[in-house]
Amino acid sequence: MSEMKAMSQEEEKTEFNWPGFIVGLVVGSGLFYLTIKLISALMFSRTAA
Amino acid sequence: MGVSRRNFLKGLALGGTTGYLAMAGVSSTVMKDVFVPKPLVGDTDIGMCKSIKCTVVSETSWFNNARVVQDMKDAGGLLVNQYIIPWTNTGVKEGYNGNNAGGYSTLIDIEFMDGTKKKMLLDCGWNTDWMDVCFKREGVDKMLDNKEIDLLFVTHEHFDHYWGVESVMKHDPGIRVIVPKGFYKEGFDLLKGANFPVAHVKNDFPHTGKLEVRESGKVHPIYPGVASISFDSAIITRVLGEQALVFNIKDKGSVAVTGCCHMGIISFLQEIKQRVKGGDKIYGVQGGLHISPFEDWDPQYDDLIKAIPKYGIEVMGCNHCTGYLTAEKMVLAGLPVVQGTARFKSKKKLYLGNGDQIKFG
Repeated sequence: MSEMKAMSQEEEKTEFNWPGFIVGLVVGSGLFYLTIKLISALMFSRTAA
Repeated sequence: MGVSRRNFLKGLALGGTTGYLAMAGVSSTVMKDVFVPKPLVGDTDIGMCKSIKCTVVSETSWFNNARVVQDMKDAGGLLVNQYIIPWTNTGVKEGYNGNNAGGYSTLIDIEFMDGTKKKMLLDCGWNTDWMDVCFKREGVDKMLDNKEIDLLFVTHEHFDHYWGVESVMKHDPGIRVIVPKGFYKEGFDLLKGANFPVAHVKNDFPHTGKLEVRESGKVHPIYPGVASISFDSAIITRVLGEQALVFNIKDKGSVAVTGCCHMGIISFLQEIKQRVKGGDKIYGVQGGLHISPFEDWDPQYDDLIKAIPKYGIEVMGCNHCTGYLTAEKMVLAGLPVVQGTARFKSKKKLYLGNGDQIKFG
């Protein structure tokens, strides 16, 4: 019984995942870049007005 | 030890949020110029002139509002080609010899910084009989004969601003003419000597001088301190394109001089502010502002009246298609509308009328 509890606690242990964070950083930055490009294309287009 | 999918996704979410926010921070501060184009503030230096004097040769485009509106309706509506509309030219009691057609034209005297002067004519009216009388009254006919008027600046192709071109060409067919991009073939043909019998318009004196077509979206310098700006405005009776003048007056600021201003006075003032060096100070306005030309009122015009004061205009020399109703409301809103004298068939003193003058600078 006590052995099973110990295993379950080990499974739930969270470790910071650097590869995930780096990928997220790149994807997040890219998303913002695309958002701002889209907004500026719509807002500052001389023909759109 | 393998990578846990849950941990990876947690890292991804945290990294994504951090990256998004970090990019927002960086792009709005140190890298903002990469993302947001610089606002076009005063990117065109048009120079400076000392003063200008505007003489209203005629601001009475037609004599009976209801009649001109009915002419358009009878022809099929507001989008019908102006050259195939049989405009009423007889039997109008308040008209000029029964003709409902009048015209719009302003003579501009420019004094440059070195003391030299030049004259230019903004628009040439509609009914040549009426325009001949107006030109004679202000001495424009003699000025044209003596080649004292340097150029004819046509704001747009509308009947009341352009069809009186014969009255100019009969005195000086070699005059330099500037028109906005958008002129139709009929407009160029009229300049070359065409006749449009249905619309009762003709020109028996073909133009022989230089003709310039001004592209829209640009500031076009004309003289030191004088420039034109063209707009791709689509206007009733199948007219496209309008241009107006901006003067940079020493120690005063910019003066906007318009024909009809179909592009909207706010759009024109904004363009001056953003494109012309020194345009952030609008000192004066002269000409038609196209707000209530047929003396009708729409609640949206109230918003326009509220928006104009923020430009800090010190002298409002409006007339013509501004409408008397608008002038009344502008005065009530505290705008500095310059009164006229109501002579030569101008109906009220509310704004500058035929034969009135205004000086800026």
